[in-house]
Amino acid sequence: MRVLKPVELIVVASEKGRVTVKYPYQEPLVTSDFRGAIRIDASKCIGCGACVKACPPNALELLESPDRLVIRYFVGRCIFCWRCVDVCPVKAVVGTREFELATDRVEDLFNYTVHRRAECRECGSGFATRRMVEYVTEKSAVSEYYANECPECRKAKVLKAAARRRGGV
Amino acid sequence: MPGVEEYVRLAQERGGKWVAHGDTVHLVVDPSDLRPIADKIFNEYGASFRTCVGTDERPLNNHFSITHLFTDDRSGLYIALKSYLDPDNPTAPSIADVVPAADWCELEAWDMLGIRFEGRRLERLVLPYWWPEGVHPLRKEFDYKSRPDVSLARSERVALRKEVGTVPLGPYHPALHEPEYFELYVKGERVVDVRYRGFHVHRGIEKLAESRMNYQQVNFLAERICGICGFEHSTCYALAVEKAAGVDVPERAQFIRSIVLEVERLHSHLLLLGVAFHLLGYDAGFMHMWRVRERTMVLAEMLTGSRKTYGINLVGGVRRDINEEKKSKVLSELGGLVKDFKRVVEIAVSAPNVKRRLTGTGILPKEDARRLGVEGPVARASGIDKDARRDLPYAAYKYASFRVPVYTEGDNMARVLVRVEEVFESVSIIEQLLDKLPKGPIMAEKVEIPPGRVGVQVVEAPRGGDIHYVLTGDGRPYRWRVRAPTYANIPALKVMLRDQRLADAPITIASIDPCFSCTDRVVVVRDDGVVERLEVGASW
Amino acid sequence: MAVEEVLAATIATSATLVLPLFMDGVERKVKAWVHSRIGPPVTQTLLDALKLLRKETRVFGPIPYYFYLSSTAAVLTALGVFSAYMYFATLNTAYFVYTLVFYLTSQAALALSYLIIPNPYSVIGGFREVFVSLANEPFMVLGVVLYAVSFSSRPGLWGYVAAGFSFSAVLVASYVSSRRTPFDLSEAEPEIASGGFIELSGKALFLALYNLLLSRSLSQLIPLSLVAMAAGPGGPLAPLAYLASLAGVWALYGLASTLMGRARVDTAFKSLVKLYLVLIAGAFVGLVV
Repeated sequence: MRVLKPVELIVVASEKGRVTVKYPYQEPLVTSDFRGAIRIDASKCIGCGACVKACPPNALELLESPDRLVIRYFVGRCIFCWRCVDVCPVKAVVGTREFELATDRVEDLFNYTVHRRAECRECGSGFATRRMVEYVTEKSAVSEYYANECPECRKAKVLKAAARRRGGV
Repeated sequence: MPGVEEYVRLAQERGGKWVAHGDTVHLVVDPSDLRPIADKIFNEYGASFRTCVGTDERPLNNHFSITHLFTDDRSGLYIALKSYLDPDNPTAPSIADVVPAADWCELEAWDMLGIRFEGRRLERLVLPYWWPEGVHPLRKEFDYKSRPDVSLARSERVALRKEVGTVPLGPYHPALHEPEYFELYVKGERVVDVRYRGFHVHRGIEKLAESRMNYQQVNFLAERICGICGFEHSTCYALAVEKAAGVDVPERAQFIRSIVLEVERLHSHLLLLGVAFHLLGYDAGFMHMWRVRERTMVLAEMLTGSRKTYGINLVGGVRRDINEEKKSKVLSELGGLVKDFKRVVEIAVSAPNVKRRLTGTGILPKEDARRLGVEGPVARASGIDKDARRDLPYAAYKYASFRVPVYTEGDNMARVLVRVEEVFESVSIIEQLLDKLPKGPIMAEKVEIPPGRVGVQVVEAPRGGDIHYVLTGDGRPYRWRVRAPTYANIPALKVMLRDQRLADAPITIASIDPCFSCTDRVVVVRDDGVVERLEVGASW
Repeated sequence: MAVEEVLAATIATSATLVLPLFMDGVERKVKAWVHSRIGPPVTQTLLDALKLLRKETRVFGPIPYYFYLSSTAAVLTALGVFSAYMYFATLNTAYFVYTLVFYLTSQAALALSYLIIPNPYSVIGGFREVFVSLANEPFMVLGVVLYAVSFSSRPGLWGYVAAGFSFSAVLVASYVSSRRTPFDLSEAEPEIASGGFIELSGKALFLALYNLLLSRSLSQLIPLSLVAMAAGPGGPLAPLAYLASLAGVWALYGLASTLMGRARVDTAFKSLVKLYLVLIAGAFVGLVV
C-alpha cells in the first residue's frame, strides 16, 4: 500500500540500528589514510627550509639569528596537507594520524627544531646550518672546497679570483 | 552552430585582434565594441555568460583591462572578450542590459578595481558601506596587508517599505549555516518582494593568491573557498593553470581527479537533500540521508586522506594514488550506498507534505533562467540542458558516458529530482572511470609556468559551473578570478521567491543549494534605502 | 464521589503535571531511534526546563498579561486533567463535559497568549495556531458527540461503524492539537524568525514550553476517555491505569510524528477539513443507516 510507504522508515531504522559513534568513549571513525599533524624528526632535519617554503598557511616558519636557525611548527595554523612531508629531502618530516590536539595552553602547540649554524672558516660568522653543510658535502664531495665558507666570503673569493685573472694582482 | 570562425569574425570585422588556442578564443576589441559583441554572443549565438574579470595590468602594459568570459556549450568553446581601458580613468560600457547575468560581476569590478561602467547604476556590491571611497583593493598599489582607516558610526534602516510587512531572514539566525540576509516583504502569507544582501564574509582570496602564495600553494587556498565543494575549486584552478602553461598532465591523474570530483558531488547532493528534508520538517529524512552521506565521507577519507579539503591537487597532477585494494573497496561501498540511498529517497519523497510542499513552489521560468545565467541543477530543472562535464569536457569525463537529467517544471521538486538522478549518474561515472583507470604516473615530470599566459576553465561543481580565470605571473598568478555557481544562482531567487508563501521561502532558498562561502567574497551595503521593483537584470 | 476516587484522581493529576517533562524526553529518545541515533538523555527536557527557570526573562510590554494568560491556561489544563481522571473512575458524564470545557478554554487561553505579544512574528505564529485550532476543535467536539451518541443509542454493527469513524476523528483531532509535526506551525519554519516563542525567554519561555507539553496530556486523555466510555467505570484504580496508558499513547504519537513532514498553514487547513469530512460522514452513515 503506497500510503504506508513512510512507515517503512521504521523498518530501515531497526535494520541500521544506531549509527552514532560514542566518541570519545569509542574509537573515532578515522581510517588508516587519514592525514593528521606532522612531526619533525630533529635527528634527521638539516634545516634547509624546504618545508617552510612549501607550507601554504605558514604553519612552518624559519626563525633565523646569527648563532642559530629554528624551524617553528605551529599546529594552530597547520592544515594537515602534508606538503612538507612531500618536499623534505631527508624525510625528516613525518605525518601522523593525530588530530586530538586541543589544549588550553597555546605554548603546547609550538614545536621548535633548533639548528647550530655552520661557522665560516674565513670570517667566523654563522651561515646555513652544520647539518646542511654536512648533507651537501656528502652528496657532492667537490663542494667541500667551498662549503665551509659563508656566502659573503664565497662571493668575495670569486670576485678576487676573477679580478686576478683579468691581469691585476 | 557557431564555431571558432564566427567568433573570430566578431573581432575581425571591428578591427580587433584575436587568438584561438586550444578550446579558447581570445578576442581583443575596443571598449566601444564590447556591448554589441557581447549582445551578439549572448543573445544571438546563445552562449552562456560566465563572468567578467577586471585586471590591473598597469605594471605590464599601463592599462586596466576587462575580460568577459562566455562559453559556447554546444561547440565546447571558451570565449574571452577583452578590452584594454585607460589607466587613469578606466571606463567601459556596461553590458548588463543586454546580458543580465553580467550585473553582479560588473559591480564587483567597480568595487575592487574602480572600473567605471557606463549606462548603468553603480553601487557598492562587494565592499562594506564604511569602506572609503576611491580605495580599490585589487589594484596593484594596494598592499594586501594594509587596512584603511574607517569610521563605523552608521546604522542601516530595515523595513524600507511601509505598506508591507518585513520578515528578515538572517544574517545571524540560529538556523542559518552561513551569514546571508534576505529581507522578505510579505503581505499576509505572500512574499511580495525580496531584498538580498550578501557577502558578509569577504576573505580577499584573489588578492592573497596574487600577493603571497606561489602556484602550488594556491591549490590549498582554492580548496578552502568552500567547505562542501572545495575540491572542484582546486581542480578548476589547477586545470586553468595547466591550460595556461601547457602542462602535460598524466592521464591517470585526470582520472583520479574526476573520480574524486564525483565523490564530492555525491556528498554534496546528499547533504542538500538532507537539509531540504529538514527544512520541510521531515527530520527523519534528514538524519537518514546524512547517514548515507557518511559513507561517502569515509570513502573520501580513504581515497584522499581527509573527509573534506582533500588536498590532493597540485598543478601538474595529484598527490595520492588509487591502488587495486582501494579500487575494490570503493566499488563494493558504492553498491551498498546506492541501495541505501534509493530506499531512503523513496521513503522520504512519499512522506505526507514533503511532496506537496516541494511541488509547484519556487518556480523559475526558463527564459529568466537563461537571462540570469543560472547554473547547474537550478538551470537543468528549468529546462536548460547545460552541463560542463559534457559540453566542455575536462579531466577524464570524455571517457565516461552519463545522462544529464533535465526537467522543465522549474519548481523545488524538479531541483530535488535533478539532484537525485545526478547521484545515480555519479555512481555510474565513478564505476566506469575506475574500470578504465590507466596506468602511469600521477604527477607531471616537469611543471614550468611561463608568465603572461591566460587559462580559463569551467568545472561542473555540484551547484553548477564554476569558472576560474588565471593570468600567470612570476611564480604566482598575476590575476586569479573565481566565480562560483551560487553567485549566478542567487539573483534568480528574486524571481523564485516572488508571490510565494512565506512558509516556502526557506525551502526555496535552500533548493538552489546555496553555498554562500563560494559566493561571499565581498560585502554589500546599500546607502540610499530605495527598494526597487523586480526587473530581471536590474541591479538589486 | 468516593474519597478513594478523588484521592486516586489527585495522585494521577499530580503525576500528570510532572509527567510531560519526562515523557518529552522519552519521545525524543523514540524519535532518535527512528533517526538511527542515540538522542538526548531522557532527563533532558526536565533539565532544559530547570535551566530556563534560572535564566533571565527579558521583559516586554504586555509580559504580565502573558504570565496571567499562560498560567490560567496551565490551571485550566490541570483542572481538565483532573476531570478526565474522575471520569475514568466514575464514568459520570458531567466530568467528561467538564473535561471538554476545560480543554477548549485552555486552548483559547493559549492562543490568546501568543496574540498579545507585541512582536509581529509572534502574531504570525499566533494566527497560524488559531487557524489550526479553528479547523480542529469543532471536529473534536463533533467527533466526541457522535461517538457518545453511537455508543448509547446504536447497538449492533452500524453502531460499531459509527463509533469507529468518530473515534478516528477524535484520535486525529487529539494528534493535531498536540502540535506535533505536521502541525507544529507555531515554531516551525526554522529559518524564518517568526513563531509564537520568539519574544519569550527565561520563565516566560518555560511557561510556554510547559503549557505545550501539558496540553498534550489533556488532548491525549480525550481519546482515552472514549475508550473508558466503552470499557466502563474502573473505580479508584482506573486513573492510575489510564496514566500508564497515557504514557503509551504519548510514545506512539511521538513515533507517528517522525514519519511526516511539516504542513503549511493553507495545506494543513484544507487537508484537515477534508479528512474530517470523510470521517464524520462515515460516522453519520453509521448512525442513520
